[in-house]
Amino acid sequence: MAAMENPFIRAYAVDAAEFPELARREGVRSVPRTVINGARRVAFGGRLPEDGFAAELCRAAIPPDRCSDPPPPGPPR
Amino acid sequence: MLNAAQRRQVKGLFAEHLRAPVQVLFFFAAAHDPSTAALGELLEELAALSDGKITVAALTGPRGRADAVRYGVDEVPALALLDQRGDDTGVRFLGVPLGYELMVLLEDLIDVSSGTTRLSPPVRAMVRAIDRELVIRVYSTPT
Repeated sequence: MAAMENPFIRAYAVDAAEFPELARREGVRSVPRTVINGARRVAFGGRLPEDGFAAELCRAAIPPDRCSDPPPPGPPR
Repeated sequence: MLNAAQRRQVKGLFAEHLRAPVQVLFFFAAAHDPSTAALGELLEELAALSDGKITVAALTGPRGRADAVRYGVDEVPALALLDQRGDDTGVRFLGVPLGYELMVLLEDLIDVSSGTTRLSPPVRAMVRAIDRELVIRVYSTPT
């Protein structure tokens, strides 16, 4: 979904059994595991809910001090 | 690849949720390779269940290799999803998506077709704010 939302993002779903070399090169020893390569490399195992996943994308993309939680909701009506 | 119950489920899902056409680029080297044959068969089945909304372009040989480079596909068999305008969505599948990954593929096809994702607004805003290249690789094994 992130790839669809942002042209800077490309997302690969990789069958680790079919491409063990690729998995090994990226340090994947157990699955599921996600590796994000951006300004920095972030990796985590298991599957995260969308806000946790977005936080990891953020960590990979921009300096941690500028990476915050999702923006707060708009002003109350 | 899909049993009768799965075909019925997918057909129903597609009938309810597929809107605009989706193009699937199918990159492969050797048609007789078992994974390639399996993925080809799966794609044929999905296209047949989509009432013409999913089209599959098979890319192989030297021309296919050039396209693969353009789309950042360095392993085959692989898929890239394009939207109805033929624009790259950035979504790739390497290998044959089965089990959980098949569900992910179906969801992605539906999202591309609808032109929107199911991210919550704050998360969508966070993702859209990213202004440098990111490559996400999610590794799993077929269940």
